[in-house]
Formats: sequence, structure tokens, C-alpha cells
Amino acid sequence: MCSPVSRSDARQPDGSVFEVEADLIDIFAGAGWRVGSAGPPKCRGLRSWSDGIVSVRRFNDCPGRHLFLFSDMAVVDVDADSREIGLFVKPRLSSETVRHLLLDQILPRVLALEPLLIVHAAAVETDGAAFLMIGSSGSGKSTLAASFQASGYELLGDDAVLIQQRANSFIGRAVYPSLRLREDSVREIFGSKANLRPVADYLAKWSVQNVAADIAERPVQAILLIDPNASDAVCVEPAADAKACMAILAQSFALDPTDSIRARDRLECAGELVRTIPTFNLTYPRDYGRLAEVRAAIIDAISRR
Amino acid sequence: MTDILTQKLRPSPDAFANAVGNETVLLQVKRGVYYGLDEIGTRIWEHLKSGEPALSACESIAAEFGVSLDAVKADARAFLADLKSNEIIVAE
Repeated sequence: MCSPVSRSDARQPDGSVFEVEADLIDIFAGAGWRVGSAGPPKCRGLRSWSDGIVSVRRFNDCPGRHLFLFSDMAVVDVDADSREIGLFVKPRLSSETVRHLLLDQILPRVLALEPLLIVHAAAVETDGAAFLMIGSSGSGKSTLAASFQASGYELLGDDAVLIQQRANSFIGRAVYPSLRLREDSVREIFGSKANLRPVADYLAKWSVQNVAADIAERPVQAILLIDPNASDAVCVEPAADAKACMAILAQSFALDPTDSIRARDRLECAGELVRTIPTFNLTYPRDYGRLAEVRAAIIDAISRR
Repeated sequence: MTDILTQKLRPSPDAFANAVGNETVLLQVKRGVYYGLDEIGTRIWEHLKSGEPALSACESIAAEFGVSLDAVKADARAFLADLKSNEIIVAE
């Protein structure tokens, strides 16, 4: 029998009540979830795992409920049964950090409960369709995406992309439109023109405002798998099927990685994606002066598919 | 010890497979491990699924690709040992 975590008192230890920003509430409402502040969670009998960014705990007697512990910053209580999210934050945590935790860590994971694939990717539009650049954090997705945007392409998003199969094709859209860059990339690509906002207290990244399009769906025309290791030459080559499928799965979000049903769904979806959409391996030098060359190689490979 | 190539091995009930082209991606659900099989590995996997020992897959692969049977068997032993240690295949 489930023992519910107390939500009735949303006061923080200093007596204040934390308010979730209205636009964040709207974003989650659009996905069918309610988000609000919560008091300190009381819980027992937890099993846990860590995915390297956050420590996650599940209630033994409430399998639909998960606690996400973000270091000493915040605890997010996600109830998949009631589709409610309770946020308990440490005092004086910045609004930007709260926004980052909710949009970049929680939202992709709760969306992954649906029959969709949510992948860690940047999406750029060309000729009415989207190509996705999939890679781990620090692999250069955002810098490449920014480079395309600065050269006239429509940027759809740079962090998480929702992929859904429709008939014989796949549709992609950014979980939310974003572009987040380190300071050196901002300087090299946008100079002093960019309107910036810090991403989070603990990240050395800036959110570039007003560069990503409103959330828009586009047919997925190609996928590029970014090699995290820099190379001397720019190389875009067709990816082997099984490795491409596994690379996509490795960059997919999940609320509960031990959920076997959803894991099988992701496997089937990633397999169908690879069977349907041209997929390439991308290796390139990490040199701002050669980004134009990288862009050209990507566009050439996509156009020749 | 019985040669792993002649053991009765079968896919674990906790392992799921998805074919992509000539290759296969396996998921060991309880461990959360994904495993990719190339074309040769996929052939051996298909033999195990149909209840045939891996040795018969090695023989057909060696004949089809014109490579040494001993070399194929050596690679297959290492491959099967890896699958077994990850609980993707189990002994009957």
C-alpha cells in the first residue's frame, strides 16, 4: 500500500513558500503535468540509482513515484500516476537554476513516459525538415546548432528533441526552444550581440535568448551522431545500423531506466528510426575557424542521401 | 568443461532483440544493458533462437566467408562468453 509523500506544507525551512514561475507551469501543463512547490519529502523504503547527473530514488511501495535529488540544490517528486510534480528547493536557489532543473532534467524524463523517443539532440531546420545532431553533453551539439543559426538556418532547439513516428515517417520537435552555450562559443559565434541569461548556478553556460524558433514540428530527414572525440578532418559517413541504434538509445531520456516495458518501446522505436531515417557519423575538429566547413559537409551529406 | 559452442544455450527471457538491417541490437532489461551484434553475431544469435548449437552457425559462417573454422570458433567462443556474462544468453 502506498504511503504518499506529504505535499500539504510547501513551506521552505526558512518559512518562505517557493513559487514556480507561471510560464514553467504552462509548459508542463501543455504536456499534461501539474508542477508546484512542495515541502520536504518524507519517504521510506527507497531503491535508488544514479544516472550521473542526478540521484534518483523510487518508492518500493509506489512504483509510479520517483524522487530526483539534485545534489544539495533541490528535490523533485514526480508522481506518474497523478501526473504531479512537487519541487522542494534550497533557500535562495536562483530562478535560472530552478528553470534549468525543470526544463532540462525533469521535462524530458516525464515526456519519456509517453510512446515517444526523447533524445539528447540539437535540431536544425532545412528545406522544411529537420536534421538532428545527437551527442553527449560537451560533444558540440549546441555550438554546431548555433553556427547554423548564425548562418541563416532556423534553430529548433539544442538540448532535447521529441521524436514520434507518424505513418512511415518520423516527426521531431524540440522539447522547448533553447540555445545554451559556453562563453567562448557565444563570443566566437555571436560576438557581443547576444542577449544572455545564465543557465544555472552550477553550470558555466549561457542561455542565448530569442534565437530559437517557437516549438515547431518538422519531419526528420537525417540524423548525425557526433563523435565526442575531435579529429583533424571533417568526416560525415553513413553509420552502421546497430551502432547507430545504440548511440540513439544511449542519448535517450527515461524516467525510470529499469522500466522494462518502456525500455523495449525505446529499443523498437530507435530501431525503426534507424531503418527509416538516414543516419551518419560526424567527426570534426573543434576549431571555430572550420565551422563553415563542418556545416557544408553536413548539408552535402544530407542532400546526397 | 563442455565447449561453449556445443552447449545448449538460449536467449534469456530478460533479453529483447530488434533487427536493424543485417545487424541486431539486444537489450538485457534487468541489467539495463544494450548490446550490438554485427552480421556474424546476428547469424549466431538466430541459430541460438532456433535452438541450434552455435557450432553449426560457425561451420556455415566459415564455409560462406571462406575463413578458417578454427578462427571463427575462437571468435564465437569469446562472443558467447560475453553474452553469457551479461546474462543475454543462458544455458538450458
